[in-house]
Amino acid sequence: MRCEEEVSQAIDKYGDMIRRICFIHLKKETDVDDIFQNVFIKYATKDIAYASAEHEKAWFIRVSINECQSMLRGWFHQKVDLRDDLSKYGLAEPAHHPEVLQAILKLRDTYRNVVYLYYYEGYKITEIAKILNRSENTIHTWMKRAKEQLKEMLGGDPLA
Amino acid sequence: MRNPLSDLDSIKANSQLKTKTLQAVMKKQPLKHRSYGWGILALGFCFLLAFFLQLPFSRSNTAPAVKKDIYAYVSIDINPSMEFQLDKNNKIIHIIDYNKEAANVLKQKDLTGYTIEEAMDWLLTDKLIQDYMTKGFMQVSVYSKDTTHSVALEKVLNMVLSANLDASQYGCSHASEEEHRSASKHHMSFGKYQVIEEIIKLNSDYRIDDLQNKSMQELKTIYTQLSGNTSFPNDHDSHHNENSKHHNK
Repeated sequence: MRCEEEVSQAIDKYGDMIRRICFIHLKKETDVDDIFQNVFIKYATKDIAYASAEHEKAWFIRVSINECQSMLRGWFHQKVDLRDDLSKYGLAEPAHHPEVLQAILKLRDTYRNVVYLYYYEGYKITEIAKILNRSENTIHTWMKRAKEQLKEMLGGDPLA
Repeated sequence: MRNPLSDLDSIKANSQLKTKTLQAVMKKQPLKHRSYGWGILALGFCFLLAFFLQLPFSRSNTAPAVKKDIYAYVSIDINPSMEFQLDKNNKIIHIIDYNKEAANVLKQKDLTGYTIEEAMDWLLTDKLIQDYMTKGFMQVSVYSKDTTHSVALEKVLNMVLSANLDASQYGCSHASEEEHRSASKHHMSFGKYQVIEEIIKLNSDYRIDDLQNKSMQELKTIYTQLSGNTSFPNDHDSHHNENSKHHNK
């Protein structure tokens, strides 16, 4: 079990990132509490020796995505679409590209992950493949399809 | 052009969320959920009521899986050794952990009700499994009386495995009814039993008891030393070979 100071530092360091991951996956802002709790309980109780800060960050990304996906597998979340208004997540008003964000949120979760990790976190395809535990070819395919779908929704490639 | 995802910069975890999370983590207990309290109380009351009224909670109703509902079996061995019992739609209806390592993996999440594909996806991204896989070998085996179903299931599992692991890290095969039955008698997974059977065929000095507690990587090493082949009985052509049962030819 990690000490309170370690957990507190991790919450400070990765809290914003995890909330963004929650934003791109979850439909309800109120589910964020549960995800935060589950992720950091795992961090506190699993005695994992991280090889580097990057390794630690990748672990948080993977666990957060898994937790969000687990939550969305529940019957309620699958059957009921109650996505909050974007403003509830504390997005700056006015958002510069609200239509792009809305379109990204309509993508499949696997595509959303790739777009987020590549364009926001700045990971390379090889790194995303490792984080998501998929082959590079799979990531390339997901990225290509995500771009195609965004292009179709927005009438042009917003990520070009 | 400004990065369209830069709008996400403004999404931050507020101090209230951070404090609440820290408190919950240090107590290691769930945050109180908004509406579960009354639900749990009501559920408890129903169980008590049913108990006192002696409603017919027969053993067969509460048993984890009724034999006739089981349509296929999938065993997974690395060092954790487990068996998933599936219905006709490949949904998991019961899980057996054959060792402590498997119990540790499976206690993290109840995979009952998930499809075997979803379960494999979860297992392959699980940290404990990934730790085992750094030097380990995964043997997946399928058994169903319906051989068409068995072959189709093997194919699906191969696709999931090949998307996540190097070909040298796993083997996938299907078992016969006899192998499945014999493995059950020895209280071990049928995937591991198949490999042990191959080893004993090569050297009858080995006994099941000697090999039962070894990891798949250790069994693979023994097999390759005995056979002189660099390939495992099941990992050749694992991607795949719908028509052959890789051993017991």
